[in-house]
Amino acid sequence: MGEGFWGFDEILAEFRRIRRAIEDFERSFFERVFGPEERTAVPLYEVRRLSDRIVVCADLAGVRSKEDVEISLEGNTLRIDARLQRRFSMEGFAFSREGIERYHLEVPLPENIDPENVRASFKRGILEVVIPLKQKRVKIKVE
Amino acid sequence: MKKSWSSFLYEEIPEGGTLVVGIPDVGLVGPISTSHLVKAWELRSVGYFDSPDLPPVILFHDASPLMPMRLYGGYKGNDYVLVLHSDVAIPPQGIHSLASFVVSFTQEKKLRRVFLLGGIAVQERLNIETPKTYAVSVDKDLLFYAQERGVEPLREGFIGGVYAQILKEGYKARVPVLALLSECFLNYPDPGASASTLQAFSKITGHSIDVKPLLEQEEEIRLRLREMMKRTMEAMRGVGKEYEYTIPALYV
Repeated sequence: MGEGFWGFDEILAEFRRIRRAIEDFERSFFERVFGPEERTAVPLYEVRRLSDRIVVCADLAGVRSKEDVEISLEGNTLRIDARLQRRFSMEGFAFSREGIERYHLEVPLPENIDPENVRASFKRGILEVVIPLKQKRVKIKVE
Repeated sequence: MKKSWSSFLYEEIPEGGTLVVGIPDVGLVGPISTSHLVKAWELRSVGYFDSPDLPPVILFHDASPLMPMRLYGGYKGNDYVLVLHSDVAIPPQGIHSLASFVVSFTQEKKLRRVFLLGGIAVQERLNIETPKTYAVSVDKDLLFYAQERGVEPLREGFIGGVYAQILKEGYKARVPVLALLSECFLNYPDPGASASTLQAFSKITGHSIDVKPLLEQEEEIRLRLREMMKRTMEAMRGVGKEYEYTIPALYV
């Protein structure tokens, strides 16, 4: 094959690359709204980093009690899974015929978290997880 | 300033009425309030605002088209109330032109005053049972009137975003504009804060509003509006909200 012409394998590789790019776009577009699994949504959340702790808050509106919330630390990732009291769907909206049944959130955390002392509270549908940070403190004398 | 906004009216607006504005911002307090007000007071659709600065969207409800920024009107007792409700956040490039348009529209239609219904984000909102409402005004008489009816004025600090610009334009044009801002969540829809804002509005206008449905359906409303909240947070970047947590240099 002369210069400037693609071989069959190269064309195939290019098609695969384009398909991957489209799949990545679709995933990034819909995961912001629906999460990685069916009927799962990413909740509204915020991460506040303070000097000695990280506070993660998530709006789990529709979740009835703390028993329906699962929180875990996997390495340096905080995972939150919660089940809604009942499936939430908006009649007539074509983009979400299935509705949502669960929330799922993953938050990457820094290396120096103190996993033994993580605390969580759930109030009025809002989850607050407080993750303390282990701190190495060295005193420096001012001269 | 280039006039990029237009109003379209289905009927004449009577002179001397009150304009009530609800635009997406922190906690979506504005549109939750105006949406509830329209329902509670059974106001009818009387027109809409449009602009190339708005996102290219149109809504459908029961298969009928709805413009994203709508006007509702009607009488409550002897007072005519005109509500400007927006289902879309105003992009930063549209804020200045919208603010001057709202004020010139108020003057052109000879409306008496403008109320801006909204929130002011506070970190400890989760621990606040009943959010406090503050009155912010560029008109001394209107602020005094609100104060007399038990709404505390906001004494210090910056106000940022679309309401700040409407207040500025009102100040320049001497149009009485008053914002009612309740303590709210920054990035979660906050019907509880809307209930407080509407109660303050009710105190000032003297017309009652039943806010119980807002409080009873608080979580349901939060669930419904989560996507709108996300879009609003994206649009709010760079509109001056960050100044609300800043102490100005006048205290030096």
